[in-house]
Amino acid sequence: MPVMETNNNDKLIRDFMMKQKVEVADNHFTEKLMRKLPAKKNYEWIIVLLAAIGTIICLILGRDSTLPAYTISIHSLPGEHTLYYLLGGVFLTPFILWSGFELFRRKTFHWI
Amino acid sequence: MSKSDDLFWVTRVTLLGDKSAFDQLTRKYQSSIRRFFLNLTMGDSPLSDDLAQETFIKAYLNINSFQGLSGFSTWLYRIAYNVHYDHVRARKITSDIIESEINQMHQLNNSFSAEKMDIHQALQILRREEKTAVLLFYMEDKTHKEIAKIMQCPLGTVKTYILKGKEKLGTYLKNAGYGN
Repeated sequence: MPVMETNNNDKLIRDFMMKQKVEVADNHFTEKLMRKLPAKKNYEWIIVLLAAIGTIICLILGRDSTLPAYTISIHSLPGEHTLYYLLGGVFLTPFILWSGFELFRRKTFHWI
Repeated sequence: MSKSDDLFWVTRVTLLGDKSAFDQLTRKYQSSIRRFFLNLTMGDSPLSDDLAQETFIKAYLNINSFQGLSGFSTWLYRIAYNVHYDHVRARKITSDIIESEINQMHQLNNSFSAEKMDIHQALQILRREEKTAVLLFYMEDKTHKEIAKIMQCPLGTVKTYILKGKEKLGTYLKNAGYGN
């Protein structure tokens, strides 16, 4: 087939298809689908668990502890920092990030 | 909603099983997937919705296998293609009626296809693979590479499908008075 004719066909078909292209209205399709979705395991509890571990570490080891308070120095920050608080902070990070995200989306905290 | 948004919602569904994230993805892609099925089934709206629903449910259940190498849209079309392929295969086993006759029956009984008679008649002259490739290329704006991933066949084969489909459709449309 000559190149010219192929290009003509290409334009002809593209124009024809674009004319026939329609946006299909949702018409409750999504709602019906969401109702039919099978249950899937929800892993939000992992974040809650991490937050709980972080809080417990902070409470038990961070205050009035008889354990030696290990401190570390961080290059970019002045002074020395208690390791337990830093550990607590690490565990709490997912919880804080997730809370911020949920607040941003204005979602209700149904499990708190 | 961009491709990075898609990835964000997919991550929400994968890690947290967040249904509202999947709701966002469904709202974004329901139109293109349902239109794809409408054209493949010659405007059979209830069947298209059933197939689209099956596609989204399969996507939800297997979202962990989405690796992000191709776009979410391409991955979804691949599931849709397989769902349609399975449907056609099942119908071939259970029915002796010729496929084109069923399609014509749908065309006559369907309000959507009453307006879209031209495209459905035009698509009927194509083989199933040609029809799928042409629809994905011209209607859904997919590249040859993406179509090869969706149809799980070599790039050269996709190019052949599109070239043959283009020849047939071009001749049909010219004879039908388009492009004059």
